[in-house]
Amino acid sequence: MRQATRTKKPDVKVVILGDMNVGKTSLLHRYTERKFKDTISTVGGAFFLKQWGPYNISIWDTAGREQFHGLGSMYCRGAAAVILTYDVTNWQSLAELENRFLSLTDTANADCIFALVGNKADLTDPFAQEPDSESESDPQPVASCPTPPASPVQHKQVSREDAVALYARVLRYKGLDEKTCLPAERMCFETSAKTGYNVDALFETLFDLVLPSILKKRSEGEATVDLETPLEVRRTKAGCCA
Amino acid sequence: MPEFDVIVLGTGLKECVLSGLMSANGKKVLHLDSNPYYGGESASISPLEELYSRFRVPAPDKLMGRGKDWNVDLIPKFLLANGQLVKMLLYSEVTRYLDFKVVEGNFVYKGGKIHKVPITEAETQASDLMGMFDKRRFRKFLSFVLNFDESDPRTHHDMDPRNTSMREVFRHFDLGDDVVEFTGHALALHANDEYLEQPCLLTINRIKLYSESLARYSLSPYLYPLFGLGELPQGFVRLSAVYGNSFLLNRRVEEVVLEGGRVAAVRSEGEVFRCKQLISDPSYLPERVKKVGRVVRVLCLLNHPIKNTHEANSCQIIIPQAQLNRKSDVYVCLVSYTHNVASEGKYIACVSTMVETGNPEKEVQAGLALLEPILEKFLSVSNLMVPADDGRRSQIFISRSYDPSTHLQTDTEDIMDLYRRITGSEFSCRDPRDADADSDE
Repeated sequence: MRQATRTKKPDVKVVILGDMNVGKTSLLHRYTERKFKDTISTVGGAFFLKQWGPYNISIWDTAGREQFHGLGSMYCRGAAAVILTYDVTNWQSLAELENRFLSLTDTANADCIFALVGNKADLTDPFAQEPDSESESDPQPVASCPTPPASPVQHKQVSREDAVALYARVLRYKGLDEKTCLPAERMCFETSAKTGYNVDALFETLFDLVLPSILKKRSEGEATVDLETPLEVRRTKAGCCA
Repeated sequence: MPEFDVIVLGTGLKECVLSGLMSANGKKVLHLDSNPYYGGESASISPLEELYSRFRVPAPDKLMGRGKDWNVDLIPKFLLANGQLVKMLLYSEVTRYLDFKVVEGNFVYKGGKIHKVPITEAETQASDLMGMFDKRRFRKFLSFVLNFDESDPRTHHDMDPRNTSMREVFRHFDLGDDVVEFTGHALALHANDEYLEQPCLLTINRIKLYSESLARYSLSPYLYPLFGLGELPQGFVRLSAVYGNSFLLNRRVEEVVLEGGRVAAVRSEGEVFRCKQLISDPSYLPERVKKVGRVVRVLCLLNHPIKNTHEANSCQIIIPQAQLNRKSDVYVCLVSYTHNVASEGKYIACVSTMVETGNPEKEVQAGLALLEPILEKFLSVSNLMVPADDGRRSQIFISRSYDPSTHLQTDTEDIMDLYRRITGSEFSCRDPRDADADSDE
C-alpha cells in the first residue's frame, strides 16, 4: 500500500453524485489537474483534499464499482454540498438523479447546498467548445480530433429549464423553502470536463458557498479525537502484538 | 464467467475489514450481501421507524424526534483506542472517512452498585473496588504486567508465560478475589472465569492493551464512531471500492460450488462468479458452522443518562458473572445524541449476555434495572455460531458471530485469526505513523 503523507482532517465535505459516464471523475480530474498543485489525493482518486485559504475541503467521488451498486449512507454523511451531475445529451442521466441518487442525500447536512451540473456541454454548445484561455495546451484533444467540429454535433436533450425545474423539486424533497435557498440560476451549471468550460466556476462557487458551514461547524466544536496523533507514552515492544 | 481472487459474502464489520485489507493487498475482490444495506448483523438501523419494523414492535403515534436522526446499532460495541482494529483503520487510512469520540465512562458492577474503573493512581487509591493492602499489591502486579516482555525472561519473575496459569500469577502477587474479578473482567475483558486456568500470556497482553488504550485519551480506553458502528463497515467498503473492487447489494446467494473439496465459485441469481478463496459470515453457510450458544440483547431507548455515571453520555458497565451467580458476564453500554445516533436528549443502551436459562430476559434484569425508566425495549435472542473448521482445505473462511461483549476485543482477535489463515501471514501491527515505530526495530 502506498504510504500517503499525513493530512489534516477536512473542515467540510463536498460530494459528487451522478450516473455512470456523465463525467464526474473527469470533472474532478479537470479541476485537480489545473488547480490542485497543493492537492493530496488518495489511491484511485476517490477522495481529494483541497486547501482553500485556511480551510481543508474534502471532495468525494465514487470509486470503482461503488457507482453501480455500492453507495451506502456514509457517502453523503455530513456533506455540506452535493454536486448532482448529469449529461446534457442524455435525458435519462437527469432522471436518474431524482430516481436513484436524491435519496442518498438524506444523510447530508440539513443545510446542505445543492448544485446541478450538466456536463459534456461542448457537444451541444459552441461557447463550451473552446478550451478556457488559462488552460495549458493539451495535446490529447488535438490528436483525437484534428478537425474540431464547427457546430454542435449532438442534440441537447436536457435544457436549462429542465435543470431549473429539477432544482426546485430537489429543494421540495429536502423540505427547503425556495425563497430562502440559493436561486436556481446560480446553482445550475453547464460544464465541459473536456474543454474545462465552467469547471472552475462550479468548484470555486461551491467552495465559497460552504465557508459559512465551516465556520458554523468550528463554533459547534465536536469533541472528536484524532486517531493519527502519535502515542505520547512509550510502549514496550511486545505491546503492539496481541 | 467473471473470476476473482476472493469472494466475500456479507458486509458485516469483520467481512468488510477483511475485504478492504485483501483489496489493499492487491487481490481482486467481489463482495456480495443479500441485504440492501451495508453492515449485516453489525448494521446501524435508520430511520427509527425501521427499528420498530425490524423488531415487529408497533411504533408509537408520536416518535421521539426525527426518525432520520437515529442510527441504532444492532450490536453496539466500542473500540479499544490502542487495539488492532484502530491500527487497521489508520494503516488503511479509513480514518479519513470517520470521526470518533472517547467513551466517557467505564464501570464495573459489584455488590449491587456500579463502581468507576479506576484510571489514575489517585483513583486507584480512592477506589472502593479493593481494600488498602490489595491496592499496594495491585500496583506491584500492574507494574509487572506493564513491564512484561514476552521475549525477555528477566521480566517474567520466574513464571513461564506459556505454562503458568493466570491463577498462579494472581496468587504470586497475593491478590484477593475482588481484585482478581475486577482485573480479569474489567481490564482483561474476559467474559467468564475460564481464563484463570489458561496460560497467562493472553491475559497479560490484554491488560497491557487496556492500559495503553487508556493512556491514549485518559478518560477511558474506548472509542465510538459518530453515526454509529455501522459506519465502520462502510469505511472499509470505500477502501475496497477505491481499489476497484466490486459490490453487489441485495443479491441472493444460491450456491457455493466446490471442486475437489475446494471452493471454486459462487452462484448468485443465475450468474456464476469464480474465485480462489471465500470469506463469509455464518448466515450464508449454515451447514459449515456450528452453534455454541445463544446471545440475548435488549436494545433500550432512554431519555436520561444512567444513574451514578456522572451524567456520562457514553459508557460501559460490566457485571462480572460471579456478581449474579452466572457463568458469563452481563454487559451494558450507552451511547447518545452526542454521537449523532439519537435525536436530541435521547440515549440508546444495550444489555447483553450469553443465554443460560429458558428465560433470557430475566437473565439481563440486573442490567435493565440500572437503566430505568426505559422508554422502549427491543429484545432479540440470536445463535452464537462458529466455523466448523479452519478453512485451510476448502479455502472457505467463516467469521464467528458477534459475542455479547460491548467491546470489539474478541471480534478483533477473530479478524486477526481469519487474516492469518487467509493470507498465511500475520497482519503487520506496525503503524507507519507511530512515532515509536523506528525505535521498536
